[in-house]
Amino acid sequence: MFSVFRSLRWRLQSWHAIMLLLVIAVFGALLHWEMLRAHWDRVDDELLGAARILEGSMNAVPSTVLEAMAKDVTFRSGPRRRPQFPNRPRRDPQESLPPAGPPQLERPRSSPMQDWKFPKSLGEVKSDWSQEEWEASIELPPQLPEHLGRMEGPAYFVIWRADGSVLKESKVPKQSPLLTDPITFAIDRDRYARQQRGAFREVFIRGPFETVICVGRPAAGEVSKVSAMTWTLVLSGLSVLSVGLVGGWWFSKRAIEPIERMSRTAQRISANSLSERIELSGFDSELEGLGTSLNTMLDRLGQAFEQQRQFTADASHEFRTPLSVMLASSELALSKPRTAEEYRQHLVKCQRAATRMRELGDSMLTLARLDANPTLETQSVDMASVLGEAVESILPLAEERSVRVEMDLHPSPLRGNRSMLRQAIDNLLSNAIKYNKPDGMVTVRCKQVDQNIEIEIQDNGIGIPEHAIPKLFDRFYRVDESRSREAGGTGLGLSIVNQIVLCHGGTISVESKVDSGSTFRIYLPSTN
Amino acid sequence: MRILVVEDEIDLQESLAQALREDGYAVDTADNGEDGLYKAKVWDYDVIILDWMLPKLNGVELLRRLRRIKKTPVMLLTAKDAVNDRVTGLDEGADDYLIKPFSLSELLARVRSLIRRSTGNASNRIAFGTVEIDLASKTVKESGNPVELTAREYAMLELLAVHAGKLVSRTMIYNHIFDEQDDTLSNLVDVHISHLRKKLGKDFIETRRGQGYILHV
Repeated sequence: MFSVFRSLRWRLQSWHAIMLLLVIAVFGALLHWEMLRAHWDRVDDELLGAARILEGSMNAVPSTVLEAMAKDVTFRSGPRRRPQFPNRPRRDPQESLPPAGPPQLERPRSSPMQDWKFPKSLGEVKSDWSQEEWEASIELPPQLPEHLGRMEGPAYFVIWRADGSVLKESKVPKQSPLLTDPITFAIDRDRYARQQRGAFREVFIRGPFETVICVGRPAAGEVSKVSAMTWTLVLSGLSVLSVGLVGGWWFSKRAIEPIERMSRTAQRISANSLSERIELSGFDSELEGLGTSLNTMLDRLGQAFEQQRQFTADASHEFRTPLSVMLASSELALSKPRTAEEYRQHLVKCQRAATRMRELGDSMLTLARLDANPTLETQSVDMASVLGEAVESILPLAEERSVRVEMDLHPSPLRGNRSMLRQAIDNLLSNAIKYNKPDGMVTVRCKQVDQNIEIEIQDNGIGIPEHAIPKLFDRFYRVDESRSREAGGTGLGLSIVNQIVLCHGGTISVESKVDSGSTFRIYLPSTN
Repeated sequence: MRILVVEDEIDLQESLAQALREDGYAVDTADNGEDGLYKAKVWDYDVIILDWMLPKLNGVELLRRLRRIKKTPVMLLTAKDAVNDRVTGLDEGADDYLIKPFSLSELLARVRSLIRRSTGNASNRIAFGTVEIDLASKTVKESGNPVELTAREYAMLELLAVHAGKLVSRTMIYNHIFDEQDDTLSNLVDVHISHLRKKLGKDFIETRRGQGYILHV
């Protein structure tokens, strides 16, 4: 159950879903907000226009005043214009207008329309106006009914005095919240307030004498339009999300599929089927790299397993022959009563077989030790003395085969494991004598060459065929596939030599020609 | 019955030869493939026991060459125990396959079975009237009473018995009863036949002058 949530695909999918949801939600919300604002701004602009007309009409200077002004004020250029009083009550033109013309307006202007200011003298006398006089002078603009009529739904307006009493109003629909709900918000002087109450949209501005002007209209149509827009947005968001999720699921399947293929292959691979390889076709380069390195690893593992398997098979094969001699001889000896001489002969055979098995076991143990622990205990060794001792101990065998051994030894100091080196030399020497001809010769040399000690064991014996040389150091490899009885041996001698040389950081090579002899050459790092 | 043992491990070869001789077979030996092939071609052996790993010519190659001219039953003897090796050995024409190390008694039983099959007998017991021959225990009974036979006499009787109803020539007897170590004399066969007649009845073995002997079913 929980393993599902630990799967890479599920995690990818979950993250993908969360990210997608966030992105869609943020964009959707922004879009929604922007659409709403644009929509209501249009409505508000209309309402605000009407409110400004009302405000303008309340600020407007009555035509009688303008006529009086026209007598004294000279407009240098541009058409005559009705000035706007910035929320100030007007005064009697007779008193407010000074006899002399306003000097500010005398100056010529390039564009008097922009900077036109009403004469100061006119403004300075405003305080004389009482609210009542002002209220009485308000003329509602004649274009207002037309303007309100153009709006959707019957628009309405209300003008309140500062004390909250109604100054002027049009016919307010019964459902309007104006009639029931108190206004609880502040209205700035220079700005406007707007409010959506139920299905009504209203705009509030401040007029002269702390009056408040409200223009509103029912907005049920807009509300339903907006909610339709909201739903469209939500639904399209959901559909984009689901398409994204399905796509993500598909993509993650595609991305995971090679990994699953790899794991299926890996499951099939065991010690018995190391030949299986991961199919690399159709992989992306990253996964192909992974697959290739896995395959290379499998190649190496396969080789190691094959070597191990071969070694075990060869070892058991090597043990079978002496074992069958022992079994056959003992069974035969015991099959009926025999003379003492017959028993002795069978026992001799058994002993020979047992000796061979012991040699085999010893060799395998040596190799196993060298394999398991390639770092040997080392001491200072002079190869010349090692070679001298080895030759001395092999002389009886050499005499028996009438093989002459010659030495040419120079001081050759190195660090190494003396008994191991001795064993390697013993193996090479006994090979050189065993695979020699009667009256043959073996030459043993050692000397220092640059940083290395060069050891050479040369014989003029039967030689090694060319095809056998590459396999010569393989375990259980024999030049003649059958056990050559006279020479004996386990098939491990040269493998042991090779392993000992490798453990000393050296190299071994062989030159040979059939019927003219072989030369084994070892290089070991010197201490000098 | 004459058997060729081709085995390069001398100790094993000697033990095998001794065991087979003690069991009443005539045994020839070879310690390399070339000698083995030569002997197998020259003589008609009843069974060849062949080691796989041989100097000069390996056992399977020997078998391959021998099979071009002869159907002699061959038992392959080897330390190779992998299934593939066994399949190779049998496919190259071996009739049996014995893995080292083996028990001598098993080897002898398999040799008997090879001989039985190659001569077309289903059982180890062959009866001729009142005479019954048991190939496994190498005993002969006449009317239920054991008959004492020398190894040579038994070998000759066995040869005639497994080829019952067919003419067995003197050459064939020489080829199958005596091995390369025997100093054979031609009248030795007649001596053995007359001994058999004395012990088993006068008309038991029919002589066809100039041709050989026949044992009637």
